[in-house]
Amino acid sequence: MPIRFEEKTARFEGACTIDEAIPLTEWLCSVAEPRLDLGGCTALHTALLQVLLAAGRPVAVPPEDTFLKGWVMPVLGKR
Amino acid sequence: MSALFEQFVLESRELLEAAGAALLRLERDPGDTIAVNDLFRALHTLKGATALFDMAPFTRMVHAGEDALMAVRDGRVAMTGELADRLLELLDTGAAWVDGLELSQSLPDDADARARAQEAGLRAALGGPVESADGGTPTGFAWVGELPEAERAKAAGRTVTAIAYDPAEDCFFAGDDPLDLCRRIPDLLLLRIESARAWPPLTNLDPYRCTLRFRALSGAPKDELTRLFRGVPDQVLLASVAIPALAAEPAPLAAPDSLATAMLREQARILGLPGSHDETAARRAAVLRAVRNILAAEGRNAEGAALELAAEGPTDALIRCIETLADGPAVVAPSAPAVPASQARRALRVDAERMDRLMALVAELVVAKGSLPYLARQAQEGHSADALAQGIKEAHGRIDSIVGELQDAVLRLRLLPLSRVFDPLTRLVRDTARRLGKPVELHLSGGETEADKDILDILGEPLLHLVRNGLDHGIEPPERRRAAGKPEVAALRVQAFQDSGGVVVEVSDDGAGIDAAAVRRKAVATGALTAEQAAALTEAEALRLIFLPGLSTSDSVSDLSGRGVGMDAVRGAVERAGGRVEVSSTPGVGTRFRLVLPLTMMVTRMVTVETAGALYGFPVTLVTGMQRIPHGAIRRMKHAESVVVQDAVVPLLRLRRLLNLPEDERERSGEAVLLVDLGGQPVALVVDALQERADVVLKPMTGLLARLRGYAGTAVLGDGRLLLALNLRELL
Repeated sequence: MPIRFEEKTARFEGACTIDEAIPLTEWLCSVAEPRLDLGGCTALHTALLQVLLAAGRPVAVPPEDTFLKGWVMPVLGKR
Repeated sequence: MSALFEQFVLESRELLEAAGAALLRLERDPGDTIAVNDLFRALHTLKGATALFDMAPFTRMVHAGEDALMAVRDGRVAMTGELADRLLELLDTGAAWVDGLELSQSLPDDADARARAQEAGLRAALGGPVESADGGTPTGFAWVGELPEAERAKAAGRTVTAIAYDPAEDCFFAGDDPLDLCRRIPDLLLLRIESARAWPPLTNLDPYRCTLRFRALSGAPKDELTRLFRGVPDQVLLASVAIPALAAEPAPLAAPDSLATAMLREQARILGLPGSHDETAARRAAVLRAVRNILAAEGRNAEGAALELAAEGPTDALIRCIETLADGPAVVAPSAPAVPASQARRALRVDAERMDRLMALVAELVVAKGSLPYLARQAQEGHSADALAQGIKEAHGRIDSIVGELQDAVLRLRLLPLSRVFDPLTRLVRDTARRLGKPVELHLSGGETEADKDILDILGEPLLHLVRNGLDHGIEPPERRRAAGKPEVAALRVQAFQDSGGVVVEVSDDGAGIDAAAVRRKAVATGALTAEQAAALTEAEALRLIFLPGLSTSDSVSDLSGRGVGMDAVRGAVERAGGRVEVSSTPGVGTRFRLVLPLTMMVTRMVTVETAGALYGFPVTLVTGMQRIPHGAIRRMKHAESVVVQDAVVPLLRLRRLLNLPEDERERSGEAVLLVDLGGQPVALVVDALQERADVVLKPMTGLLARLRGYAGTAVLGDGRLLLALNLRELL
């Protein structure tokens, strides 16, 4: 399970695929103060990135992955 | 096809033609700055227009042409014949693509390869490999020049590949993961992830629709990236660009940005900003206003057309258009306003004045019509026949004069200047003269003479033939001209003027002239004439033999002409239009062809004759005379009959026999004879009775009857009788 949805935290682990797009969207809509932990995320599908960008929630734990950290985080941080 | 696309097709054609004309002027006089600017402006506007429709190969090709021109304008490269050839080829390719676009709305499959080939050819003609590094920013990559220094730090001082990747909205369904694709870009120096539009509230988001755009720089060569993105070639644009070193001398990439450029870029950026529908709509209007003002202030009104076009399209296209505008002004000389001289092409544009005249006449007709019910009432009330007849005659007189004027007004609507058929000649002469190595100066005059649209359509082809023939056979090679004491540069004249109710076009050269003796020999050799017949011909008659099918005086068949089909086709086309061809030539001095055409084809002047109770017509242009010939004057040689007219022996034919009608058994003292000129061959035609001339509106034969080649058409005469117009050549 690449994304584990806990009560207030979504933990991204490994390669997160498009299959997670709908669950992630629903979860983000239902949780008041969602906490995003991308620490273990090694790959993020474009669709998930879109959901995160649209949600505009801060990322609590940035990903370790160089590509995500270097190029994707700055965009997520801006929102 | 959308109206926008239609407009694009129409406009690109005009732009390509304008560019071609300017290019020819430029080649003749490489110092002609107005021509450079005209050409540059045309290409630049075209580039903007193609960018609207996402036709990357087209845009790229035009851009390459623009680059070459920039080098010419800056004096880095001289305008050579070679370079002109390349550029003309580019314009031809463009024209072919536009034609294809009109039909199928897509570029041919090999468009990309062709564009590359053109690009490479131009680069070779410019001398040396000029990577796009020095040619400015390729279209669609304006953002590269705008990168903040911090972002392009890694790429500074290198030539890198810029990537603009706009994934299709439904790309997820195709299994694409654009972000993952970007992750795999080798030597990634920069990645910008942007949203194509504002984010909706999360509850309304469709996560399966991709709205992200990616902009990247990579140190890897373009080929490697092309391979990486091979799955999505339609969604990605790649270009090699040189990134200037940090804090370096003026960036060669986006040249020193003028204020206008900076402002335009900013407008494009504003348009791209996210926001609600209302916000973006308001912004769009403001941006359009601003861009229009900037263009006006810069004296670049000519480019406004591309902007207005883009303004009707989607926002992306508008952004692209503004970026193209920001890439640089098309012209440096604001003094030369854009004059699309050849606007009357293809689409028939009508003078408002001519339209108004038509309206006024229709109004008069309506008034005149009003007198008819009044006359009908008088007839019913039993007024005297004399008074009625008088009233009807008056009404007829009024209506007749209005109808006459109306006919004239309608004909005038269709009148177009001959420059329409003259303009392509410049290019033809230039190309042909270059190929044959004969320096030729083309003198065109009378292009403003007007003729009916149909006549122009028919005239185009014969004119090309005549000019080509003159170049190929008429004009001698420079050595022979020098030996003959003639100026090395030959003169080819094409002039038009109006003559008693018709249009005359003359094509003349100062070449070797036609050798009448050679024509005679050839005619005998091909079996068209016997040696005696040939010897009996006058010089003028011998010259006319060149119009016979299969007769060419040139020994070699070149790829241009000399197959002996040309002159025959010329005569055929001109005669179909109701005109005739004349030729005169003086050996060693030159040849002159004269095409005499009616002003219009709508109304044809016919000589009518009666034979076996039916009426037949012949175009007045072909009839040279009418005579009564006593029986005694007709000589018989077996079945062939002949008659002497004006000291010449003319074959005598009988229309009844030609039409397979029974012989005329009536007793007569002589025959009514019509003298007809069949392309140089006079023929006397016996008919039952000669009648008056008539102006008729000919209707071509349709359906099954169209196969009856002996008839040119039918017309209804004023008294309701039917006139059959004959095509005599087909009957013989």
